[in-house]
Amino acid sequence: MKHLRVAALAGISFVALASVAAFAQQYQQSPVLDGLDLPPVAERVGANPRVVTPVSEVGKYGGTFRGGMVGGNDRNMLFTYFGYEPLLTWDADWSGDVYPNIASAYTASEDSKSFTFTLREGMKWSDGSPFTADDIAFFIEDVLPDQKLFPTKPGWLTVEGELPTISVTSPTEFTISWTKPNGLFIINAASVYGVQLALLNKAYCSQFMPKYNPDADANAKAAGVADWAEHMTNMCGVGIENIQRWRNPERPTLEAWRITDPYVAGATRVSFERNPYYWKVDTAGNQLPYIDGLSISVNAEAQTLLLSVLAGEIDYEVRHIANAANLPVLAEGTEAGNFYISPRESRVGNSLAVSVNLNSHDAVKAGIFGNKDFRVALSHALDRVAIIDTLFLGQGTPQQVSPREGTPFYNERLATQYLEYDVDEANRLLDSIGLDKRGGNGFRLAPDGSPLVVNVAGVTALGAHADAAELLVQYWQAVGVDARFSAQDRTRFYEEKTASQHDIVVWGATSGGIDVFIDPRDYFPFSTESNFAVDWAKYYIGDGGTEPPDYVKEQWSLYDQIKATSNADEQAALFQKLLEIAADQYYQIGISTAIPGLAVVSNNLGNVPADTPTGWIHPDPGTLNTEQFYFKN
Amino acid sequence: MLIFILKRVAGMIPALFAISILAFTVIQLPPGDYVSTYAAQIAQTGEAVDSAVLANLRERYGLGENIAVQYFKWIGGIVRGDFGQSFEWNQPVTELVWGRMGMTALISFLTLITMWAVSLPIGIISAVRQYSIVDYLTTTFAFLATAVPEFLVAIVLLYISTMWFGVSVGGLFSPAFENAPLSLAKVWDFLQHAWIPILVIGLGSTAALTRIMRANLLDELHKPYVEAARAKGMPEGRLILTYPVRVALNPFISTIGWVLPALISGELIVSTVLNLPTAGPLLLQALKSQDMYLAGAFILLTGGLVLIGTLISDILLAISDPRIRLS
Repeated sequence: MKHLRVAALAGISFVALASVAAFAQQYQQSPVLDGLDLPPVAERVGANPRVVTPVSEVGKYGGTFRGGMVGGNDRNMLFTYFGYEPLLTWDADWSGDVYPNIASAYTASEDSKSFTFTLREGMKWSDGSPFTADDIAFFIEDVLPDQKLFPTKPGWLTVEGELPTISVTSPTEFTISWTKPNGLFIINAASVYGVQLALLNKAYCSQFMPKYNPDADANAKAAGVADWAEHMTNMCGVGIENIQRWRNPERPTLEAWRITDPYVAGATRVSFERNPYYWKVDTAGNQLPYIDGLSISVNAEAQTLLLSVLAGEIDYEVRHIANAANLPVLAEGTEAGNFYISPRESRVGNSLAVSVNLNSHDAVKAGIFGNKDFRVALSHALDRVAIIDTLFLGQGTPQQVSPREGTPFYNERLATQYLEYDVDEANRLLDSIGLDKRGGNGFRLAPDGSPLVVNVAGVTALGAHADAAELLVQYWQAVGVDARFSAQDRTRFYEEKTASQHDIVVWGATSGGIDVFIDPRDYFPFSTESNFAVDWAKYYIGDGGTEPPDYVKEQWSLYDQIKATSNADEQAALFQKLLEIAADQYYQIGISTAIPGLAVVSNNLGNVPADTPTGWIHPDPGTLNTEQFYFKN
Repeated sequence: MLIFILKRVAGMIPALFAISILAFTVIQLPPGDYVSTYAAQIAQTGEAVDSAVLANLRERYGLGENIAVQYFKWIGGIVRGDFGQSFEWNQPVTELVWGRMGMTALISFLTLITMWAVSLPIGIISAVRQYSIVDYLTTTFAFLATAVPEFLVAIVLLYISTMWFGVSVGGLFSPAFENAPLSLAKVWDFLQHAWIPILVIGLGSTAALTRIMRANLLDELHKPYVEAARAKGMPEGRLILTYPVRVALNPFISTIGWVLPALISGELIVSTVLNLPTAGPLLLQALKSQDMYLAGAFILLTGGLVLIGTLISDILLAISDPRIRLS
């Protein structure tokens, strides 16, 4: 398969050859479809289906995949497993290369302002109706601008508040454009977010809009909901993360399976059947998916799910229970449960991000926390090797919060500065910034003579976070900082830090690969998730906050420049400049390289790769192509 | 009799009102609200949270309003049969609550029946045959069962069945029947699964009731009227069942008043452990995510169920004992 490389993007046109080999081929279908009143399989997959190369071998048809969800709002389990069907796609290894998926090819204009996509000839929705550029246009022109359906517009689809326009040149060709450049559009179109563009079937969903159906409002009233927009959301699941996406069996979809028992109130089991019009085939011409149906239990508790896994009643699990804490019990149960533990790579920038609040509302603390030497001293006070041994069973090496080594975004200075365990240096730095006076309890006083108490908050429900906070406190007390561990409930934690009332918080680091472009929260004040400077981030997103110093503004302008180009090399170079500022400022204290993840996979499930990266933007197992999973027996 | 029932029902209204205020206060107690919990939850999985989206949600759910205003809106809706919207499920609470509450009521009711059916004969036997082998056995068993918390029994059962037999118990239906329409086969499937929760939930209360029945009956067995009947040559079995048992039954019936709340709250915990499609798991989840209208509806209805149980016990007492009916 010819793939499209981001690196060579600007202004060059690609034509995907994916289909040529399969063109003249005979297609086969699953035996369960035999004898049904359906058009021939070659007609259903269309003239130009996507050919998926199976991970290990061509599989066989049949079986029901058993999975598990926890609670009533685990919709993103379904999304990340079976709903990752974006316009373009990433590969399982997350090399950063973008491959054709729904679109068979695309071109980007030189100035990154417009993007032309080619769709597959004869591709169909799950109800057999044709999928065309009009469906995309329906979303861009009718759904996205609507204030009721999309009160807040997805950031990646807007450029400085401007929404895209679309021009449809043929049923299989359209161009999305802005008046200003949107250099990150293609990366986003291959991420989970890209699913949004081809989610809605115009023929079905437009019936709920007054623009297309004068009775829409009356129908909504008849259905017992407030207005047409709510009715449409209920029936169509307008946004990618709407739970309603998994509720209406009538809604046509492009996904490999379509829902039969919906994920509604009180459901204990959600089921899917195969989409007979799925537009992907394997290298032997078998229409995918291999697996005929899905049966997903809705569990009250993660522990119940763990028991199901141990009893061998789950075929693949990467959420909820697939973590280091459960590793011993899982490892013990592999034989009885007939599963194996498949390593997964976490691509985040660190095992933990420890954020000192630069925007503290306490004037004295703001002065101290804002001093880089204070943060450097706190970093030197940590024995990271011991922490890694205690918390992460020795997995990982000391590192600051930084993009991962081996990616074009790695910045050595940012990753490796201030890592040495050096108590003397920590004490010297603290003395040098006016914290040299001690109180009666032996702890350092603030420069004005008042006691300096530093609260270190961790969420107890996220075990490692609270454990880490407790450990850090001991190291900092050893250098005379009156640090105190504050065990917090997740909600309280969130309220406090969003209001910038925290001192120091322990939270997970986020992006460390190509996703640094999509969510750079750890490298400059980007969103209210940038825990080290929430107020500055609020200023950035226009939600009040306080005006930051010039170096932050320079980072913002560099990020704008990244968005203004789609040349990958240029983007990476600009990001390095941005990281240099982050390294100068030393916003966050990191502990170690990311902890490896894991997935529990049934021995009976074939074509599952190992060591693949996981994450929200590059979801597991969606990016592994679940449609080519198959049952060996 | 009718006046008696009406008076009892009238007494339930202020009680229900008090429960509603209590329920609403309790669900408001934790810091934050549904939106901040939601934000924290999705941020944990590394998903991006847009603060504009959160502000929008808060406005849509009316979470910024005064608590008193929120309460009266809520209770006003309930009077009209509208329990509000579940934030987490994005569906009206009414759609969620009835099926699950129905299951909870069914399980609790079945447990109550089983409990009576088991503890009554055992209590009688161990009183009549005091200090016999049977008495010692049931007494030992009863003390053990009262002392062990139900959820622990559930966990141990789960462990044994998963680790030793390789099947996970839990649930009330086999996967094949979970979404199937009601049929005879489904009822049979239900019964095959339901005995585990019934056993687990009823264990402690059954043991306690056995002890109560035994103690009550022992009080009566040595009273003069029993001796008199025996002296007149009445057959022993008929004698015991007709006179002392009937008198001893009084405290037995009135126990529903406290057994029912214990059953229902036990059911809430056990059903979470056993993953039953009853109110418990949903209520716990709703409390954790601060899905306040859903949680409120469950607490209110559970309270209502307890009140109804007490009413039934009052009525049964009135039927069996004319002294209560007339006073």
